[in-house]
Amino acid sequence: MATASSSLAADRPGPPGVLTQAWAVLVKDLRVEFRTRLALAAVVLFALTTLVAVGFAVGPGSSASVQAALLWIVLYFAALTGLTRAFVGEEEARTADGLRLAAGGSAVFVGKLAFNLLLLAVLALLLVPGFVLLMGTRVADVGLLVGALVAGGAALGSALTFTGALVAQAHSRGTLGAVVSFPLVAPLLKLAMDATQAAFLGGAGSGGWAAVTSAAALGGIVTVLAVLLFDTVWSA
Amino acid sequence: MSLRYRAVGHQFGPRRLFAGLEAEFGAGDVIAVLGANGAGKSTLLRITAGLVRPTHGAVQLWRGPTLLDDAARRAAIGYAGPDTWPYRALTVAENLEFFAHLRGVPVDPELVALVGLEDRLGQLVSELSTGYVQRLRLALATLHRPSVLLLDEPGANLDATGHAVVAAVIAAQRERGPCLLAANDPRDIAHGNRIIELGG
Repeated sequence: MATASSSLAADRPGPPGVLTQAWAVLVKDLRVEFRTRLALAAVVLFALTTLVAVGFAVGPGSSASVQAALLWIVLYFAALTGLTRAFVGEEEARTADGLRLAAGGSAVFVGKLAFNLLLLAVLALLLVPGFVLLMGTRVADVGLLVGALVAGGAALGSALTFTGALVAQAHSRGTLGAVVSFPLVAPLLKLAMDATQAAFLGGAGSGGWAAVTSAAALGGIVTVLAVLLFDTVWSA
Repeated sequence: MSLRYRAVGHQFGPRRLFAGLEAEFGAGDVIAVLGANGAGKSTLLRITAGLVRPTHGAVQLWRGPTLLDDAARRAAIGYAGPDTWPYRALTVAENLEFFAHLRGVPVDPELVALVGLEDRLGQLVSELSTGYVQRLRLALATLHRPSVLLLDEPGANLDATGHAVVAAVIAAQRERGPCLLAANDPRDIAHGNRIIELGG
């Protein structure tokens, strides 16, 4: 029995490639977000509220390890609030099936991931300077802090985008999302906190860049697996 | 293009909707899927679209001697149902352009005129009446000229002009391939020249 892929079987040009479809998804999500500001409002308001609460409760003078942990806890929960909406929003608005029929799973994942990484970048740009000011944090190695934020943020974004898609159709998606994402996110957060603490303290040989590299590698593995598995996840 | 059902059945938990569906359809076939509420009409269309996996059997799309894989099948099918929504925060034109971009086709002005949306292109979907949302669903389902068209309650919320739009969309589809209609409205059912009756 013969089988055919879309490009071979169609009597007209096949659907565009993954990157072209992903770009369309990204532009669509940016346009929707520009009009509704749902994800940005959720993420920024959560981050600001938590930041102020942490500032009042802990304040300046706490140790570098506590400050690194608090920074990533705020980032993680703010990201959890907004990033998982990428797919949940499609399900709630009942637009997901239209997307399933028109685009491949990998393209949808890449487009949503790109949107979430942009959202995370905006969050970090707003949150981190505020955190440093409010907590009186001394950043000894700015380059390492940027590395930790980029690698940790990208890995966190990928993990939360993927797990957000996994639980998007579930009824108790909030709880389920936290449970499903835990095995992916816990090691990422540990690495990101270690790198951030090293950036606050400075000093050679603190293992900060090794943690950044490990976070980047873990994020890369999660992303590659997510892209490979996403057609199945998305269509199931 | 031929659409084949091979012993297709579906059940939700212990509740069986339908079983052992065997049928084959081709160009020119407009199949009215009939049955009482809950008989599985919409589910059969969603199974055909690939949105739901049947618990038994298989739905196959053949182009000549070639069985289409999932990606080719997705490109060959157009689906409009009450459970699929365009993006409310986007305009009609932005929705058409987005889905056309994903499908790799241009937006055909003739299609826009056929469904009567040419004066609504700049309007946000959230501001459209339910009838115009339905017209947009029909346009989105057909903008890539699908080989198989699946319409779930296509006449829902449509006025007389809207029903004429449905008739025109179905007439255009007859030349391309089979069209399945899940319907309760006699005006929709009247388009059918073949029948699948569920729950009989």
